[in-house]
Amino acid sequence: MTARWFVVCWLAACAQQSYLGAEAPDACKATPDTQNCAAWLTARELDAAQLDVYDDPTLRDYVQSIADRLAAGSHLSQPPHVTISDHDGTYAPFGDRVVIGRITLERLGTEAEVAAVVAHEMVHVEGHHTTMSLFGPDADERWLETRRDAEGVADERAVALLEHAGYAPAAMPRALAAELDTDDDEHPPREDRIARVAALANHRTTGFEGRRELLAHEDHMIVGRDTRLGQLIGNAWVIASLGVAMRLHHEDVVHIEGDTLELHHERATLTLYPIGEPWAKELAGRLVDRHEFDTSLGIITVGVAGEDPSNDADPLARLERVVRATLPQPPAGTWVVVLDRCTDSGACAGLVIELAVSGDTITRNRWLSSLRAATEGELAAAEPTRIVLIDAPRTAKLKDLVGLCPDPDAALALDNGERPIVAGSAIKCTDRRTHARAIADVERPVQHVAVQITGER
Amino acid sequence: MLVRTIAAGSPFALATGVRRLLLASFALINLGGCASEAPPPLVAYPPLAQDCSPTRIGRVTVEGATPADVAPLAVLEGTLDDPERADRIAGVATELLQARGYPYAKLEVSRHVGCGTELHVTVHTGPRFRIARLEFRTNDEFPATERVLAVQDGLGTVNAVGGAYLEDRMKRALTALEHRYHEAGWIDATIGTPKATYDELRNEVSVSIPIAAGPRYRIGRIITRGGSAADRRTVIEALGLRGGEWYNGPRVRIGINRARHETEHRVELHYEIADQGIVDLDARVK
Repeated sequence: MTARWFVVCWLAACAQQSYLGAEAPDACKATPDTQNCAAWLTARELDAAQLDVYDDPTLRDYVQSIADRLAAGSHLSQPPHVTISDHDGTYAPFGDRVVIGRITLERLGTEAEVAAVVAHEMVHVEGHHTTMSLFGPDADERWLETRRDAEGVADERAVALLEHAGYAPAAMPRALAAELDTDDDEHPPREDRIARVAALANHRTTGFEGRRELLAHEDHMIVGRDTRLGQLIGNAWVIASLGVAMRLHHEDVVHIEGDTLELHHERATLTLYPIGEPWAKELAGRLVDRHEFDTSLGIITVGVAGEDPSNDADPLARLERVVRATLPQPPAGTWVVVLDRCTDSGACAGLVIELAVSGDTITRNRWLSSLRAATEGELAAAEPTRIVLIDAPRTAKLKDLVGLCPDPDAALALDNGERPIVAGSAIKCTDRRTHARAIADVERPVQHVAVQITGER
Repeated sequence: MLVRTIAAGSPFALATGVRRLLLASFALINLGGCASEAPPPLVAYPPLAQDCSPTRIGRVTVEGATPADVAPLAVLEGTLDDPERADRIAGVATELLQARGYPYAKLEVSRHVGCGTELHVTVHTGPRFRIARLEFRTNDEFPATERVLAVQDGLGTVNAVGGAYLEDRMKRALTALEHRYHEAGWIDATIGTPKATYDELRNEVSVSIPIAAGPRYRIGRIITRGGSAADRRTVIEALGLRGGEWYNGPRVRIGINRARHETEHRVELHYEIADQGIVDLDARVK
């Protein structure tokens, strides 16, 4: 009776749901499959809202195949879905999914090391650690201890999963050493973690390493931050993924953090960041006192950020609302300009400009009139650095071979300098010096779009 | 807003934590199976021989439940034997069972020598209880459906009729619900301690929640002080509020933010209870 009530509830409440512009899968509406539904929401959030999925199906399938091998030796009935995110950080969100950061991958040198990272996250899924933390104690010292226990268990059991899958257990301490740099309250200390998995690996180097296999999949992979999401080039902030640029003025104080640009002029502030197009549409639709302009850059919507209007009518709506509240967005009451733009290649994305100008309309209009289409030169200069493989001409440690790369320091950051390399095998380099992007002379702006707020209200 | 984080964070970085962690507030305790895609054919690498060193947990066996029911303990297989950690994890696994509706769940963990150390977990779940009734003792006009949904957790599996009862999560939800009352104009509302009554024959729980809502407040006068007459007019217009309307927290905040953006001055908003059910707003232009 109870079970039937739940199913009826789900069918009644969740039919025909969509989220960030896409229809929700059956897991979110036909059956109470929260794991898969939450996993889908996570992927949608990364892709449609944050531009945070690394779009390389071959690489994704490769890492998924590693997860498939590991899952065969676990208690899981099926492998979790793998998503490659476009930033750093690797985690298991609630749901049947692991998210592996592209920047995490670039620091690893063999397939077995990637397997070590995937195995760690898989243990979190296998051990129901998300649920464990959620329904465990409050966020106090005991909660932190629970988290540290879960992280330690994930490290150690990952060694067992590597063994079951035929990977070299010695890859686990190497992977931790490559990825960990600082300690925090939620993980055991770095040195303890490495020491414990090293004890379990017990110097066993038998098993599959797969350096050649990994490097073949990393060839041409972007290195570091994807500069197409925002890059200072000459005197302009260029968002190549949107094909737009904002000219910067000498009288402004410029602050850059990741993909976000902040301009300050006296008491006026502008904050600018790219987002996914579905999320841009949703944010634009939510603006109060909204005015829409169809410009040559795309659809520009101007207004005041409102609060999320969705109600708590059904459980999925509540889940979505909570997820949406965590996405990049302007605080309620902020003056906002949202650009919804599709480039010539058909790729669409959004741009949010938050304005807090304290009545300084001159600065506001100067800033907004600085938004224009990016030039061909700027677009080329914003191309990210990528990995290229070169063959080692002799047998040596990697640190003694990186001098062959265009940027030896960058190459050394991509691998373990002490790694022995056999003559004829590949090493990872960047395709150029990482600081060689900025172009000295910015071409003249080719297109300006002035957005006048004054008088529109 | 939920501030707890889920346990499955990165081993390497937690920078984007809060965003993904909120997903966990809707975790289902029932971790059932899922539809799967056909996996591509895999080249299997030969597995390595199991390491049965005495410092390692070589095997975990479970009696009285499935390994998935005590998943945090089941994944100790292959880890270093750390009895204190295992005891702590057994405690958390017990709490997880309680969160699934087994308030009397108990676990016993014993150790044996085999392939290294072997753990044997005996699970006594006891009866499973479901919430049969969830009553709010009040006659206020706050939307009844919103009240019910505000205390639900786990997409309806926790603190909802038919689901498990978790007192600590209920108390947390009631704190948030009390805030929503305030935001909707019941500025004096207080919510008391929930009372749960267990029916051992029917395996049912009845939950009763007392709410003292008090009056719902309307906006009285809207006063502006300081600045020029033009500033004050701008503030009044930007606030977009009228005397006689129900007090609404989000609308007031949007209004004051709009006023701040449209004047060159800082604007502070003060509230004053003018009368029973009337709140005056006092905007001060600095």
